[in-house]
Order: sequence, then C-alpha cells, then structure tokens
Amino acid sequence: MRCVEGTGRARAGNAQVEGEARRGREGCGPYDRPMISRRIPLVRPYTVGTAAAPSRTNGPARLRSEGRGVELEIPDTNRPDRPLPPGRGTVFPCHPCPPRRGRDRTARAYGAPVRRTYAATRTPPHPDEQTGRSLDTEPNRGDRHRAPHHGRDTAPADGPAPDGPAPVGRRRFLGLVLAAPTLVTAAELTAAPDARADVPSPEITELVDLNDVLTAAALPTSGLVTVRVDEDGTVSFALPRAEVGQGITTSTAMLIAEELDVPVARVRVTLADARPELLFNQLTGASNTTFATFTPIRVAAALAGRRLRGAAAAGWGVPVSQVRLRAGAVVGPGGRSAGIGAFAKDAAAVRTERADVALKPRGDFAVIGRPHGRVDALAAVTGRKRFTMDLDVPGALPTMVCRPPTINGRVRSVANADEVRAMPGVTDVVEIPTGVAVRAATFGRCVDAVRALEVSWAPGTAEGKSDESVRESLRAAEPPIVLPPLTKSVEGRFTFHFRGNSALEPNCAIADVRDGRAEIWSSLKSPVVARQTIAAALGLPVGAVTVHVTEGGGSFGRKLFFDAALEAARISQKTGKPVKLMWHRADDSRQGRAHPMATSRVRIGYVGNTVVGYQQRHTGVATDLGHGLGEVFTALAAQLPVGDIGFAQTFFHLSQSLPYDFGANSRLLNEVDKGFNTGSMRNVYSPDVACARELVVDRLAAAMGRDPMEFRRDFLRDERSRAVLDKAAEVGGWGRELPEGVAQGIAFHSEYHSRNAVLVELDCRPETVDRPIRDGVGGPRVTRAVVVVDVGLTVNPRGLEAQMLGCLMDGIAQTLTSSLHLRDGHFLEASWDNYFYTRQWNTPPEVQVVVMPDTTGHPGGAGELGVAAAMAAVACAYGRATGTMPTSFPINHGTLSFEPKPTVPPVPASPTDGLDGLR
Amino acid sequence: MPAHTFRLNGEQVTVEAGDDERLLWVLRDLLGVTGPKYGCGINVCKACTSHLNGRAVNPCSVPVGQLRPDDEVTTIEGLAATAGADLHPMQQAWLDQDVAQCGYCQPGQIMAAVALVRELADEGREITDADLDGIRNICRCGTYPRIREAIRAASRAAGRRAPADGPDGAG
Repeated sequence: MRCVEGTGRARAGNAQVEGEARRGREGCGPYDRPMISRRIPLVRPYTVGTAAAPSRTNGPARLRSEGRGVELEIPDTNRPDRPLPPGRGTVFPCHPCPPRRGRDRTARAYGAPVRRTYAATRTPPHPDEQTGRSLDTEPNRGDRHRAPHHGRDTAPADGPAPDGPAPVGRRRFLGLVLAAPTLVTAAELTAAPDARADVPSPEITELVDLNDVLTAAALPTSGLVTVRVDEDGTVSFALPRAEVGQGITTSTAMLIAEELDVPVARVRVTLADARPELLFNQLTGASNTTFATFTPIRVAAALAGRRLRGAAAAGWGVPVSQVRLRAGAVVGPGGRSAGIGAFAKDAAAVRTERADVALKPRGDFAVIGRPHGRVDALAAVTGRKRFTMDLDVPGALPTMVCRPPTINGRVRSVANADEVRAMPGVTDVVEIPTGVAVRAATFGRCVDAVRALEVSWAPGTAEGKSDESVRESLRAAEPPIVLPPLTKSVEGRFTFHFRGNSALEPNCAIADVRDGRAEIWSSLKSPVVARQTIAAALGLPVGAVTVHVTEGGGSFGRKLFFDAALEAARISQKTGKPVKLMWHRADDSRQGRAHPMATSRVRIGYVGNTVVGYQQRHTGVATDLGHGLGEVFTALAAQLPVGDIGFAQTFFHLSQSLPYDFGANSRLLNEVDKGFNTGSMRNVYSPDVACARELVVDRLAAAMGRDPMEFRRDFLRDERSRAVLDKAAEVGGWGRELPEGVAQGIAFHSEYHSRNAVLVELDCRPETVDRPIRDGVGGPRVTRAVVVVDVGLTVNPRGLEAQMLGCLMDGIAQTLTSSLHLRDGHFLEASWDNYFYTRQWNTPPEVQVVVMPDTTGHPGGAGELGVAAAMAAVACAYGRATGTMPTSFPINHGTLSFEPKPTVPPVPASPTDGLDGLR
Repeated sequence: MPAHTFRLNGEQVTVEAGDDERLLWVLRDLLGVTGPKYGCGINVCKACTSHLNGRAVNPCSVPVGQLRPDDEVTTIEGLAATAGADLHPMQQAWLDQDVAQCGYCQPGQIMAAVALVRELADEGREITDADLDGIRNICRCGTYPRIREAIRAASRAAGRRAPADGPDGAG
C-alpha cells in the first residue's frame, strides 16, 4: 500500500482479512448461525434500507505485525469511481494516494435538533417542550428496519394458539413464549442487526467496531432475556447488565413500555444475578447496552403484547384484530377493557413455544425518543436507593483492609494482630493476599483498627517508580514514526498522566462464605467472570457461588473489575463470617484501578492544501482488560478481521478511528509495564488519542492557514459528522469575538457508531486562573460549552443529555485538573481534595446539549461518547487562548496542589471538627 | 458503652456507642439510616451532608459524643417532613431536572442545596453563580449543570413563597 512507511510490506498477513471479506459478501445468509464474519460487510458497506447503494466501497483493512506493534493499513478507497473490490483470492492493487481536498458544503436536510441549555441566564425549556420532536424527519434515510412496513395489524394469527412456522420477514423476529404459570416471553434473536456501515470510509471501526464484537458475542444467548407479566399487571425484566448511573434501567423500561403499551412506571427493571449461561451477554461496557439489547428486549415485549391480545380475544370471543393494548390495559370492541394482568395467566404457555412477531414501526413510537426522567429518580432523591453498603445482610459487619504503602506491596508480618483484635468493637483480624483485613461493629472502628495495625510490608509491583521513570520507559517503547521524505509535516508529542477512575462509591462488596457456599453482593459489570474467579479462589464449585448485581454508585470503568468482591469473599471464608467490605477513599485512590499513563505522538504530512498521511503512535502503561472483555476477544479474536493480535491491540483498533480523510494513516499502540492496577476509564483510549489528534489537527490547520473548524469540516468523512460539527459551530457561535486570554476550541470524535462535536470557550485570564479556591484547583475555566451529539436513534434524549454532561465534566477534568502523581512506587493522591475531578467551581456556567435527529434508525453508543471530544476541545481552546499548544495533561500536573497524606498508616484519621462553626 | 441521645428526623433516639464514634457510622451502621453516604470519611466529598439544627453538617466528622439531647439531626430521609410534604421542594426540583445519574452523591447534594438556599433566604439575597461555585459536594457522574439548574429553580420558587411562608419556605 502506498503512503505508508515501507511499501513492500503492504500485503503481509492479509489472507485472513480478505477471507473475512469474502465471507462477508458471499457467505452466510441472514439467519445462519450467528458469527461475526457475516456481520462485517467488508465489501458491502451499504446494507438494506439504502435504496441506491453507492459504488463507493472499502478495501480490506490490513494488519501487519512489526515486532513492537501491529499496524493497521487501510487503503483509501473512498472514491466515487471505485468499483466493488474483487472477490476471493484477488490481490488488492496499490494505487496512488488520492489527495483529499475540501468538500462542498451541501448539508443533508437534518430535522430540527433537540437542544437543551444549562445556563445561568436562561430558563431551561419545560420538559414537555421537547416531546414534539419527530424522529422521522427523513423517513427512508438509513432505516434498515423499515421496509417492508409491517404494522401490528398485519401480524399473523395472534394469541396462544400454536402458530405454524411463519415466514420471518425483515422486520419480523422470532421469540419464545416460555412454559410458566404466568406470561413469560423471551427474545430469540435470529436476525441480527446488520453490522453498522453507515459511513463509506476505510476505517475499520466502521466496518466492525467494538460494539459489533460485543453484540455478536451476545447473540447466541440473547434468547434468554425474558419479559414477565404478572397478574397484578406489573411487567418485569431482569436486565443482564449493571446500572451504574448511565440510565439503562430507564431506557430498558422505555423499550418495554413502547412495545407493550404500558406506562413506563409499570415496568420493573431489576439487575440480574450472575448467570453463567448468558456468557458475554452480561458484560456492561463499551457503551454497548442499548446497542446490543435494543432489538431483543423489544421482541420479547412485543411478543408478550401479542399473547395478551390473543388471550383477551379468545376470552372475549372477538377477533384479535379488534383487540388493542392501551396504557396497561387490553381494550376490545363494545367498550371491553381489562388490565393486562387479567390475561397474564391465560396468555401463558404450558410448553415453551416459538412465535414470530413484528416490532412497532418507528413512526408509531410514543415512548422511544421522548425525554423521560430516570425510573429510579425518586428513590435517589429520597435516599431510598439502595447501594451495596446500604444492604442489610444479616451478620455482615463492616470490614476494611489495611493496605501497603506502595502499589501491590505484600504483607511480611503483623506485629500486633492480637492487640488490634482486642480493640473495642473489633471481631476479626485476618491476613489476605492484599493486606490485613479487620472486621468490626462499625466502619469507624475499622478505620481505627486499620490505623492501629503494625504491619511489615514487602515491596510491591511498582517499587521505586515515578512519573518520570514511567515516562522514560514509555518514550523508549514508542514505535517509530516515519513519513515519506520531502513531505512537510506537523507533529506533536504528548504525555497523559495516570488518572484515577474511582467512582464516588468506593470499591465495596458483601460476602457470606460459609458451609461450602458463597453469596456475594456487589455492583459488577462482569459478574459471570467474577463468579468464576471467586469460585476458583475459594476452592468452591462455580455452582456454589451466587453473585447478586447491586445498583452501583458510578463506575467509569472501575466496576468492570471485582477487586472488592474477591477480597470480601476471601475475608469471609477466612473469618467464617459474613462481611461488608468497603475500601477507604485513600485505598480506592492509591491501590485502586488507574487509567494508564500514556504518550501519544502524532505526525500529519501535507503538500500544499493536501493532507497526505496521518500517523499516530500511542504508547502506554498496559491497560488491564482481563475482566471479561478479554474473554470476549479470546473467543472471537480468530473471527475478527484483525487477526490474533491480543486483547489490547484488538480493542485499540476496534475503538479508534480517524474521522478525517487524511490519506494513508496508521495508528500503533504499544503497551509496557504490567506493574500497575489499571483499568479502562470511561472511553478507554479515546480521550488521549483524540486529544493528541485534535491538537495536531489544529496545528495543521494553522500551518495551512485555515480556520480550524472549516478545516475539520472539509476533511470529515461523512455528512453525519459534518452536520454535528456545523451544529456545534452554529450554536456555539464559532469565531465570535472574545477578550484576550479567552478562546474557543472545537473538536470532533466518532465512536460507537455515534458522532460528537464539542465547542468550548476557555477563560485563561490571570484573574480567572488565580481565583482563590480553598483546598482545590481553580485554573482556567470553561465558561461555555456546546455538546452536539448524533447517536442515531435516541431512546431517551434526557438520559443522553445527562451522559453528555457527565462526559463533558470528565473531559474538562482530564485536560485541566485530574491526575495521579506517582512517586516512590505509590500514588500521592488519597482524597477528593487531592484528586481534582471537576467541581462546581470548574463547571461551565453555561452548557448546551444538542441531540441531533435520528440519522440511522438504530441506537449507537452514548455512555462514554462525549469524553474524547470534550477533552480535546478544552485542550484546543487552551492552546488558542495561551498561544502555546499544551503537551502534558492535565495542564496542572507539574504543580502539586496539595500536601500528600502519609502512607503509613494507610488511611487518614477521621476528623472531629465537624461542628466547628455550627455551635 | 456510653448512651447518646439526640433528635433524629423528628424523633428522640438513644444509641450506645463510643463517644468518638463518628455520627456517620452511628447513623449507618447502628441505626440503619443509610441516606447519608460515605465518599471519603474526612469531610471532603460531602456525600454524607445532613443537617444539624437546620444547618449543613458532615456526620463523618462529628463524634457522636458531641451531640446534645436537643440537637436535631436531619438526614435526607427526614427532609420532606421539614417541609410538611411528601417531597421537599428541593427534591421536587431535583426530579424536575432529572438531576441524579448514579444517585450516590445526591442525598448529600440535596441537603447541601437546601442549607444553601436557607442561608441565602436568611441573608435576604438572590443566589449567584459564586454561591453555586462554592458548593463543595463532589458528583463523579458530573451532574453539576443540572444541580445548578435545580437549585436555581428551587430558589426562585422559595422566593415566590417567601412572603407567605417566611424565609424558611424552601427549607
């Protein structure tokens, strides 16, 4: 391939990729055994629903291993005149790199977006004002589920009577009615949504991205998610996911309410216990929940509705076509009406049977797409919402662990265990692999006991390491970057420091391990893996371990791991008593998972007004993906078009995309040093990767004498992207006059089949930067932010806005204030007044979130989507306001803005001055 | 073990605990009142914010032995009753704005907001951006913009009620 260092290696390791391409085109029919290859239209980027498939298409993505990294080479075939690629065994020709120049500005006629303002000076619109939005502003655009149109009235014979095998059309889906005393339906997904290929571009993530992998992994077992209707008219659904604030219980209730025509409040969505038979369908991550469950949940609900109508028709002796569901009731001719519960028994099946069902056409949606408050909001604001530590498990006493002064240090010996065991309220002191556990009547007694323990510690896994030493090892491991000679280029090298992904709820779990059985309560995003690991650690059969998934107080990647659950299980086994384990905040910050430190180097080559190549080398401390996501890749790696390149590489390539037409591009990841407790923080690699990219894009625009916004829009790959960027520029007033020291920044990111642009205004004037903040960091302030998002079909715009706000706050923190400082093998931060996550004094006084109208007919991912562009936009604004491109993040990392707490004892004393000023 | 008596959400309670047991653990571990959350234990994150005699207090930093029998401790569980309703206007404002995401910090946020609006009412002035900037409660989900909107809305509503209800209308 051309324009990439060393053209001779271009086709190395191509066989598998082309093999996948072939299968993608010629292979499995839509209802064959689900496997990833048929969902990757490598050579068919346009799928059903687009009447006139353009001739533009993609060549195969190509990977080659070069020792220290794996390179993804992608031919730029994004040309209108390019024919379909040849078939099996054909070698793709190298061809000159076509220069990408500006595009015309013809924008697609997008409907009116939904906009919400959070502003000091404005009154927010009443929620009702948002409900008038039409989801179908352009009925035929990209809706692969639409035609042929099936409404409910066209459904075949409804009701409990056994149906013969019905032909399953494009919009009809098979489900199951399970043998049960009341109505229980399940989705059996035989028609997977087509792999998303709404963008004709040579980006592998648009051929198959992380969401596709997770969705594909979930397919064989999706039939096991069930909707249950009880005689009291309640509808129940046990969601095989973790709710950690992202709003999926609400959006799930909305999906069921939509298809079953019941009020959202009537739907009870609970979190399923670990169910090994669900395999990968019980992993919450990668903003994948709505993406993967959108169809199966609706199928189960629609089937339940159909059964209820059938049962009512039979009971009333009327044609089923005259029976409707309405607001939780079944209504029929002659004013007949009954709550759905009245027919829950009659609609049940005596033996499990299959049935096919049509889903509600989008034009009929009355719930999906309309703003809805969270279903748990009342519980949250009244204090009734129960998190793990709020559960009353008999005998489970508060438990904490005395932890080492350096990362992953080990216990050598404990000098005063008996003494501490005799302290008031203390019941147990036991050694575990990660420290010394104490169990006591209250957490206050635990804190005192932990502080009293005299422990001799062995070195940990990061002994003697510091920010400087890690950065040096990263620099040394950076894969080389090369552009063809005689090409002008712009470049940037960036450092991203360690960050904490602690939620406000610390790591915690309840465990009761007695009599050869274990019961665990914890907020877990990978409960199946947790259960297996805990069983192995305890020496119990997996069947003896029950894992309950509890409501989580935030996650941001942290709850993919089950560190506390494993510890709690060990402590309970060792003490023979139930325990309620909580990490102290200092533990959570110093020994908890951290987002890895990384460097990123970007070089973009250009000739005149043409961009000829983009290269990025991302080098980081290893990200631990061994929480189940890894297992997904283990199982599917061989089927992916990226070959066997390991979890992290696979994840990197599946999650990273280059949204601009920059000619040949290559991005490499290299990871070193597994000595740290790492985890993927919200949006994983993307915030750092995108921040580096967008800063160099700004630099490139400057070098070419172009406006940064105009430059981006000219090089963005598709209309969805341009529409989002345009909207951000329009709403944010791009280019408006600002005082010296205040500047705008704009950035773009696409992932999870969604698009996002963020525009911010950043005030870097001394009087703002130096404003006094007690025990906190002021610094530059984002005074205004506009977040524009296109996730395709939005299930709950209100929830989506909330996620975008959270992403924005994360992005601001990552650019300006939040980091962990590594020194002498430990992190200095031990409190929220050390680790400077965004606080009210850093919050933009004015924020606008714009939700674009549906462009795809299917929900994309959203939970993490907004972090990358937010982080990048703030960084770009900082560069413009100060005249210096920032290269080290967060920008205040060089200044230690707090007095580090001691590491021995590991937790600070509880204060006693809480009444000061109150008496 | 010494006995400690104080008023909790309108009722007199007596609990046996060490004098230095922090009120947070007395509430959560001994009395089963779990609305106030642990987020740091050192009066930094403010997730446990409750009221002592109507003013914001952080129980993680109050030894229970310092409480007096007539001290009124109000947690999120008892907030609505102080307004004589099923929901305090601030809780309603929270629902109207759909503020909560994970919800872990929100009891503390609401209690802090009520105390702030009450203070402003006592001072007889309108809420400002600086007042909102001064709220120290952490929300790791980043709900800050909606928190600001909710407090403004509740504050405006309190202002409208003030002539009839007096300065405590919002809280």
